[in-house]
Amino acid sequence: MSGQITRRLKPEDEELRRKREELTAIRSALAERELELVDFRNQLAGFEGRYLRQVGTLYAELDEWKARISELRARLDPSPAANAQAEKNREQARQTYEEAHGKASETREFTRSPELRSLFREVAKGIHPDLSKDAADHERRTRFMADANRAYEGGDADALRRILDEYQDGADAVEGEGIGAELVRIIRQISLAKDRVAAIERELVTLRQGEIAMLMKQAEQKQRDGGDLLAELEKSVRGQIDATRNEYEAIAKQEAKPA
Amino acid sequence: MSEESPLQVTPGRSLSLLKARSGLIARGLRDAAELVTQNVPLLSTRRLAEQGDAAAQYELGEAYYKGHGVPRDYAEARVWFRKAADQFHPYAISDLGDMYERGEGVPADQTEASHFYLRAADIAIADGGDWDPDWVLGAVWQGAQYGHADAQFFLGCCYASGKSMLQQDHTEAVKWYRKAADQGHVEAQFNLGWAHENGKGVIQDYGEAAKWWRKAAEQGYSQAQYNLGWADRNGRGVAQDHGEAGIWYCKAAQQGHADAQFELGRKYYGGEGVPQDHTEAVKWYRKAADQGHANAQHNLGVAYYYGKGVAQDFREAAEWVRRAAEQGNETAMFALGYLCQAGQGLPQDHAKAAGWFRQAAERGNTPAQASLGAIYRDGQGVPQDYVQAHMWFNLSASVSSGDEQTRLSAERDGACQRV
Repeated sequence: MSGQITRRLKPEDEELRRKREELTAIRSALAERELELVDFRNQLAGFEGRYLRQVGTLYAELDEWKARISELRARLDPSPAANAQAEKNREQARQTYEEAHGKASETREFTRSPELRSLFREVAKGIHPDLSKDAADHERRTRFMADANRAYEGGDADALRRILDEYQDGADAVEGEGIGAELVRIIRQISLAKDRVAAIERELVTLRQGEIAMLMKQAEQKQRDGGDLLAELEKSVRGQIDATRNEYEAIAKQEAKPA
Repeated sequence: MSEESPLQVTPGRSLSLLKARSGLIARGLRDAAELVTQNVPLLSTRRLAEQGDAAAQYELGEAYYKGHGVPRDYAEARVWFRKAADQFHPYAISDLGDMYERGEGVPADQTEASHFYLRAADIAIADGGDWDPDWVLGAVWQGAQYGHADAQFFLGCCYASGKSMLQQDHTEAVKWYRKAADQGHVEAQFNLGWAHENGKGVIQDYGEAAKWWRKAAEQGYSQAQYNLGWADRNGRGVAQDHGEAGIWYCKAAQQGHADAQFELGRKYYGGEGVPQDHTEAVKWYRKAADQGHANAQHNLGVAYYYGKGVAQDFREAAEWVRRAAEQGNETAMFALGYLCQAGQGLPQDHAKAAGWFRQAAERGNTPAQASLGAIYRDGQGVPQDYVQAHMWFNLSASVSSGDEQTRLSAERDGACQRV
């Protein structure tokens, strides 16, 4: 794709300088947005983990009792409808259990230090995949960026530094291209970076409209009012569990009676 | 390239929200929405309750007690009920009684329950409380069950009158009167006597009536003393005993019971069961008369007229008779007409005399009817009218006897001839 434009003109030098500046600026902006996105995702994931541990597991317990009730009913008074209901509730209980005790529930919340944030910003500026020169470079950058994301999420500053050092060893390896070729490359990089910024914006909007973000927003609102939404939810579901368990025990007593 | 699948470029954690089957989050959102709507009213109530508002404290306790808007929590309910009860909130006191009686959130404790029920009953039967009628009845009922004599009496009254949403039931009324009466409740004893006297809720039994009145009378209840005096005087359920009657009338009279004062005055005036003593009679007539007792006023006037027990004084006589007459006492009306006619104690006035005779005559007073006949015959204070004279003589003659009847019949016939 390079090598088509070979003329060397003064204005092109000027244009190249301007485009380089533009690319630098957009790299900074992109790094900021990237940081914002990863922070928001982390925040959501952490909240989701807390929600699943505190409330989700209780929903699993509630569904378990409901499943047991319908199974007991099906046993006491068997019918195709009762059996189908029992199977349906058992499947629901299984799904809820999986969700509540799944991987997401292990996520813990913690605040990233300013050092970690600025380190990630540097990495994002330097090795962002959308800034790649060619396909091979893109692949390499993608790999580095994925590692950087993981390191940031894990709060591992040393790993981030290592990734940055390692990347810089092989960075700007392409030398000796002409001004025209460089200009085209930079213009393409700018365009890609802009696309990426737009994509990040879209993703942020999607995330903010999502259910978990809405729940988190309500919890934050509650906290400002001096309440604790998750604690209240917990209490409410525990109440539902108590009622359901009582119902189960009442039916079980019925079963225990000799027919 | 990357915007197609941003997750591949920056692989973060896989959030459930991006999966289709994230039912758990939606459930949390639904329940949270419910919590929000439920908790809004309680928030302001809680704030008020914490500031010490008794009604809010009760409301909050009730919410926890019934699990309205918050999960049911007896311990929390008890905390708020206690705060409200300390401020004498009646409903909170009752609910605390219920919690101890049923053992809700505490070990069942009848002693503690009765403590609250009796307190609630105190409030329920006190005057001036603007409480929910349902609550009043419930509190009275509970108090009565736990032996609150006032509440038992109150409940008996409710049954007797069919008020406070109870069906009138004299048998039930007597049942509760008896419980209270056995505890020495004096008004219950009195009402139990009344029930026996009238055969309401029990078989009529004057002896039982007198027995219960005696219990109340012995506790100094003046109406019972008067009734017992009346029973003794008339031999109702007891042997007739004027002396005994005098004693009870005297006790009630000394407490200011106007009817008893009048009866005692009569006893002294006539020497019935007591030595005759007009001075003593006048003393008691005057006490009753000062309380507006019409018969006593009339009798006091008569005492003044004849100078019995007091220096004769027609003006005083006319004054007391007038007071009684103005209350509609027909005997006094006749007497006042007589005094007007004779000009004794007040200026002679035939027209006024005619007015008083007419009022008494229309109420069926025979001497007034005869006097009115004479007035029409003579045209004294009214235009002469033999038809009217004939009518009033005829009326009075028909209920008279002996010489008086002969005299009035002759007057009637005389008037007839003039017609």
